[in-house]
Amino acid sequence: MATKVAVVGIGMTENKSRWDLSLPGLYRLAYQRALEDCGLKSEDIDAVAFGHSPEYFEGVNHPEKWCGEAVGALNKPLFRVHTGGTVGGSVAIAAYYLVASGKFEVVLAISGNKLNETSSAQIGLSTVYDPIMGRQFAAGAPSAVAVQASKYYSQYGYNEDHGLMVAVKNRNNALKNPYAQLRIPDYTLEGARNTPMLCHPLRLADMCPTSDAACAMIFAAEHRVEAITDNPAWVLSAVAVNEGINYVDRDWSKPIGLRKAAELAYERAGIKDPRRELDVVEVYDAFSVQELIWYEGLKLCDWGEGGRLMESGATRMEGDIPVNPSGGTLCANSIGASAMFRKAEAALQVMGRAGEHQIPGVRRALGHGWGGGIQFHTIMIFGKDKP
Amino acid sequence: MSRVLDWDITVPFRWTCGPVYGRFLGGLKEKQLLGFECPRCQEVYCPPQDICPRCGGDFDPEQCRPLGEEGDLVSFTVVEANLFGPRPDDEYLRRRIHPADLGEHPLLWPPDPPYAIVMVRLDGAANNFLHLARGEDLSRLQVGCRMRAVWKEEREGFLLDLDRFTVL
Repeated sequence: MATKVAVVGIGMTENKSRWDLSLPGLYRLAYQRALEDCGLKSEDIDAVAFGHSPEYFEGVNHPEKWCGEAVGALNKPLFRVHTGGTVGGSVAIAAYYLVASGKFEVVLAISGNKLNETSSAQIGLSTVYDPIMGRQFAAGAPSAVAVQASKYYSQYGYNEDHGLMVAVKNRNNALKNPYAQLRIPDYTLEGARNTPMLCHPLRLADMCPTSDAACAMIFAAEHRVEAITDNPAWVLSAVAVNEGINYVDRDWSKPIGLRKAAELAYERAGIKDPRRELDVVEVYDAFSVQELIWYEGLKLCDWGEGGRLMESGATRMEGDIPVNPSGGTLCANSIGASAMFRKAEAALQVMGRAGEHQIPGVRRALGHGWGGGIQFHTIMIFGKDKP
Repeated sequence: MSRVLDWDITVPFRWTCGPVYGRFLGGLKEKQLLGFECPRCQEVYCPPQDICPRCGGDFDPEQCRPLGEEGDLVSFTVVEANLFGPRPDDEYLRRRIHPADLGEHPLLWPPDPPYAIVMVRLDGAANNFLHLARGEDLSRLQVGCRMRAVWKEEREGFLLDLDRFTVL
């Protein structure tokens, strides 16, 4: 039987472009904030799970070499994990596994990026395409997600307004989150419709910003939790699934990898009806339309119903299943930290410490991440009650 | 006081394609879209993969046959804006990016917008093929429409030997 594990401390940096801190300096800020959050010291951390997305973004290969000591990994185990945009989620899950295994008692998960250090994040994202088949015409991440969006909209009779509705919801939510980058007052559907078309059917309004940020979470074994905090977020389940890149009949608008991850996560957390039993959800919406597709993958609604779930208002802050009260990845995307922000936001909601964007009475919250060729998915579900 | 350093990295690469992709690219030179049959589960892939993503079988580079040149448009995007910043001049791209023996194809820079990325399911294939569409076709693209391959005159075993797909 695996050890029960809880999140006891969280440290975030603001998402923005920042020229005051080096890459290790940025990681150190998130690390120190996480320690301060739970009153631990460097020597209390047994091991570090370290994440960062493609090295291209800072042009610094093997960044755990540069940043190890900055996150307290001096003469202690450090493990680098890498799954592209999913990495923050994979790192959090890796840290959870290290504690659940019984081999370590208190483990730091930390992940980040400074996307503004490269002259073009999208050239970097095009190097994610393999050089034999596709890099010749790739236009970064937006061109792939635009192909996903066209399929989704045409398949179910939706149109670009459905993605823009997500953008309006999340941008307004972000006004309540001091860590979000895009905090734009009076953001309206009309304004979103008037932003330039970049990759049809995706407009500028459908896309995330480029941020510099890091995020840290501290996981502790059950027998250590009580001495650290009386307000932990218990890990109810943690699942990662790789969907594969170009298999038979692959449909980018129907993420079967996410569906599998969700079903496993719900089963392990004892959840039968996620729409009713989850109180808040944070999904990795690097592009607006993806939030609708992830609703379906996460079984918040049936396949093809994501647009209608958005129209119903259920996923707004005051709806019955709020999604991305933080503003989501659409309002802050450092890539390296983003999937961990989703998990950390879910944990904060369970702790009741999400600040102005806190949803009242949260007992169970889900955080999601995706990365790679729209293929890697991670899910963590946190609970107020010990499992 | 923080300070910002500007620097640049220039490293030419060469990428090994392996026997399966190598055979596929050789087919393009002969104006053939080769479908590769998984020896284990018999699904036909175009383009191929190194490993059958359905059953994990290893492809045999010789177990392939030409498919037709037509298929269905599964999805697409029209790239309308340059997301990369200013395009370097061709001489700069050649110097920085091209190993000499790969000819003069810009490997890392996409076409100037507008152009389309199309996801085509070739008739007889079980997976999707990502490629290009351009020009007058951009306003005619619709999910589900029929597409046909258009070849370059000069071909040398490279993905862009296939110039584009056009709407039928």
